[in-house]
Amino acid sequence: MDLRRFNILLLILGLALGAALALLLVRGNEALPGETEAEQSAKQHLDVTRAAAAQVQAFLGVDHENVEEQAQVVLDGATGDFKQQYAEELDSLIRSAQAQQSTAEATVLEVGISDIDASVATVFVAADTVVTSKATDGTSRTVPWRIQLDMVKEDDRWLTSGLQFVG
Amino acid sequence: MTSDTSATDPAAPHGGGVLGSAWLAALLTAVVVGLAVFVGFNAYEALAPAQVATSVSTQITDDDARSELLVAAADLSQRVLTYHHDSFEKDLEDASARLTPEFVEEYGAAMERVRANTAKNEISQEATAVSSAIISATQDEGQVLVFINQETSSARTKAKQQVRNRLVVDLVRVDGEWTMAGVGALG
Repeated sequence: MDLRRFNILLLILGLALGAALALLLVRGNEALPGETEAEQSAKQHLDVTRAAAAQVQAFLGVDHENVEEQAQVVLDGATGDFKQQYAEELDSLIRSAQAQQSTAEATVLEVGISDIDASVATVFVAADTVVTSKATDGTSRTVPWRIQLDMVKEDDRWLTSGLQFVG
Repeated sequence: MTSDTSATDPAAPHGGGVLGSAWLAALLTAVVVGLAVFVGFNAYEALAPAQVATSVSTQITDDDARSELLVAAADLSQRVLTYHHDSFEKDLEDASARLTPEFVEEYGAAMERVRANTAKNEISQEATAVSSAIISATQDEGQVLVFINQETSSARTKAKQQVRNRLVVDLVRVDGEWTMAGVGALG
């Protein structure tokens, strides 16, 4: 192959790579094959699961020396009625945790999704807390939890709009 | 005669013009290699989050299929945890019909351990699934979180016990029907 042809080939290759790069920079992974509807849905399930686990972890966890900071994490992941109710009960929660010198170490065991669409989801979470407080005389006690979360998608984040214990 | 001069001039570009020059070839090669590396890096970066999704991309997302799995998990959980002293054999038989061969052995062995006490104390156990939610599911396999309430009572002693359980139920599709392949209690 003579040099002229070689250079023309390189020019074409360079232009193709430049176009591919521009597409990647503008559209990210949408420009790549493989991001199907099923994958988007799977990613959505993953996002909901992670958000629910994080919210339950924050909600159940208690450190009497750090309650306000923990509560802020819950509020950051909350919206609507749940956010309002939690905010209203916050002072009482903080006083109780400090008075009882409570600590609760939360472990999320499993997260399952019952219903889900593009903007709302119902999620169930099984979790345990290992609790110590004045009431337990400093000894730890494991408490099992069954929790239902109502979640909504706002500004590309899954937030908790309702939380209830399953009886 | 002058027309041959350029062909023998060592300073003249090969093949004629800038397009045939060696320095352009070197420049273009460097640019193409650089671009290829940059595109490859960006493609890898862009693909990374998609790969996370790909690991669960075979999940069933159809509403009807999800409902079918949820109903099966709740129903089968109730069946394996519900039995009565006066219908023990039939309860065992009904539950075993929708278990995989491997799990039916495990289930049978567990029920044998409670058989004598069930008869002696006239025990009945009622299990009610209060909610079920999909942990993961493909077309042929599913794992479901089931919250179940069990009430165990003895007709002889009149004792009653209520337990609120959290189960992880494994299901597989056999001949188009969801079948229980295992169950475990959390905590």
